[in-house]
Amino acid sequence: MRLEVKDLHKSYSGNEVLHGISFQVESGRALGLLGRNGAGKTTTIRIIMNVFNKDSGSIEIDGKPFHVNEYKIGYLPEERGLYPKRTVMEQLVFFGCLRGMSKAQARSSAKYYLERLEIAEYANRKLETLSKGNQQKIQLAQTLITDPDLVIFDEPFSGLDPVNAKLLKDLVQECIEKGKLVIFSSHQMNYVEEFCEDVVIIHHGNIVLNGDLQAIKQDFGRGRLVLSTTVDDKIIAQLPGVKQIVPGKHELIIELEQGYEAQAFLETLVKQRIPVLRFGMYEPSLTEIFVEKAGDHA
Amino acid sequence: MKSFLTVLEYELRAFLKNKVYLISTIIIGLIIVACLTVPAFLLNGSQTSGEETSSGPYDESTYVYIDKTGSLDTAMLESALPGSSWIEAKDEAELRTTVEQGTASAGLLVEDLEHYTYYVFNSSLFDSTEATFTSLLQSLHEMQWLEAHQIDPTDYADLNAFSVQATQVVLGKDGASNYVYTYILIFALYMVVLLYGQNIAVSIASEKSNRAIEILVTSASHYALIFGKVIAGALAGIIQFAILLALAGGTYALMDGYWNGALDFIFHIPANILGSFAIFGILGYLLYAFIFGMIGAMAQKSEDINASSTPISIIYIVSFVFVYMAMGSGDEVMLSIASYVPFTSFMGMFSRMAMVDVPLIEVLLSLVILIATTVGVGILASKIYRMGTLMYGNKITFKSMLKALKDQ
Repeated sequence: MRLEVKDLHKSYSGNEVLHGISFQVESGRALGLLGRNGAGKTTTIRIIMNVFNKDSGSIEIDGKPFHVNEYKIGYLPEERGLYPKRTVMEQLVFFGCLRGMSKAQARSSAKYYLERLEIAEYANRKLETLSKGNQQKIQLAQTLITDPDLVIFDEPFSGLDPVNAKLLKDLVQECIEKGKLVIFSSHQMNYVEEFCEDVVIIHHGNIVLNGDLQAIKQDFGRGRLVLSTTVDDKIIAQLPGVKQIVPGKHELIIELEQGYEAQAFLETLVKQRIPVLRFGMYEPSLTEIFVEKAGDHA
Repeated sequence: MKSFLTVLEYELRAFLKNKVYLISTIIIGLIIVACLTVPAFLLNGSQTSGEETSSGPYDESTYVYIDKTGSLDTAMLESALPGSSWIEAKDEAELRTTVEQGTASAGLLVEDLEHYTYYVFNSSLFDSTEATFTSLLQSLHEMQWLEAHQIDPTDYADLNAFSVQATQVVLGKDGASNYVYTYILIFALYMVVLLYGQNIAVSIASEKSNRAIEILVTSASHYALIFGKVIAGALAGIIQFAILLALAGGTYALMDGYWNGALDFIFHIPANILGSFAIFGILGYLLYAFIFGMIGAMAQKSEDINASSTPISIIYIVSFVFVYMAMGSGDEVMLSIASYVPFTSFMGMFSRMAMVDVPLIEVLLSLVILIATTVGVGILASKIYRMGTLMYGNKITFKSMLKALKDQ
């Protein structure tokens, strides 16, 4: 399946907050939807979920108009919320039934996810009596209870310790492997890098970056090299072809002069008997890319 | 429809399992049973042992008195108030001291047969001594007057015994006897709407404060959500009302032998009045429940509900008072107005039906207006529910809500 968001515009009281958002997400390739607070991510998600109407633009699935009630959708909103005074099982069954499952199906699926998330013993406890991390797991169970076609995770890892984060990572990975449409919104870039093959960065209601994450990283590397060596930085800076070096924690990031190839530079290192511990093309982190595209100076 | 039923069941279960709901049903039920049982036993007890208890509340009561007319004496007073004992005081100071020290329960200073002063240490709402004593002096005065005019007291008693007997045949509605049960029904409705309306508003506002709303509105239509929630609240109220009504009816039926039909005018409500009460009452209840739902959707947290619901509570109370006054005055114009305006017609129409004959066409017209208004308010409430519940942070006014609906 392929979900395409095309040229979405949205205004509140005459103030346009989305200025033509377009992206696409395919089954088996999770999309990281990134942006600073207030950039327009949640508005975009709410329009996809039909909570808000769009001013213009379209949302299509496999080339046909997307109607939210025709698909099973799992939504883990940024604003977490369930019923604190109701039991875990009661509300999971309620949400399952609300999305079209029978009571028996909802109960069975709830049991599966509670066991999978290692919280089966809390099935008959009131939500408010659970720890924040376990409440977060219940949220995840309600998201996945219908085995949805499209899953939207908005900051799914907040409040989870590393052990619980591992449980969640396995589930997210499973969703991707099962070929579901996965939209993953988070400020924790390491998770986005881990799961998402495609990323979209929204800034002030505009798409400022969209595409395959690996290709984006290569493009942002701009032919820079990464070198780890035992010799002094100053010696490296005086080598032929070096335009600029940026010292890192354990390595140097080297920008070569226009037209100077990485292969030629490696040969220079060898000729000059400079010990090379690591040599490769520089690949920026998603955080660096994000700051460049959506930072204060963007 | 499935979503609506799911919400209805989930919300109704919450209402029925609510401790306040259960406890209030039990307590009100016990009060009803007690009110219908204890007085019946007391009435029955006083009827069967009337001879033994005819001395009334004056048993073992001691009174102190000063008589400046010279018409009274201790024996006469003890005879007038059987079971009482009387002390004659020398002056007002002694009379006061006797009462203050508790030697006598009350004191009487008789200036003449038309004026006396009553002294009591602590005044009580249920103290009938003063009234009894006034009656005694009145009788003495009458006796003296009859004697002065040489009229035989027996003839005077015969004259007073004459009374005109009237038989009333009500060809239309017996508004006077229908008044009590109509008042009870509209008061019950008034209480149910206020209590459950608040509950519905709090329930919606808490979904907003605990953020469950975002998952709800993306899982089911807002119509299913608000209609399910409001109708669940309505059903919970109806169930409680029906339980209490059945309990009252059942207890009265069991105690009927003791009451001797004294409360038939309340419990034998005509079926057409009960039917119109049910239809108009439920619709009116839904109308206000939707309005309370809107208030819940516009509040930021459940603590804000009391303040936010004040305007609608005032409108509701004014509506109730208007219908109550129209009933009391029997003003047909007021009753007619109350029976058409949707905010009052749910009380006004069946009250009017209980008091006077109302043409069927007028009943149907009022019903159509009420249904249309309730559905319209329900649709508006569902839109506000969806928008209002997603507007976090800022204070939401009705104006800003309408603007947001336009922007949506």
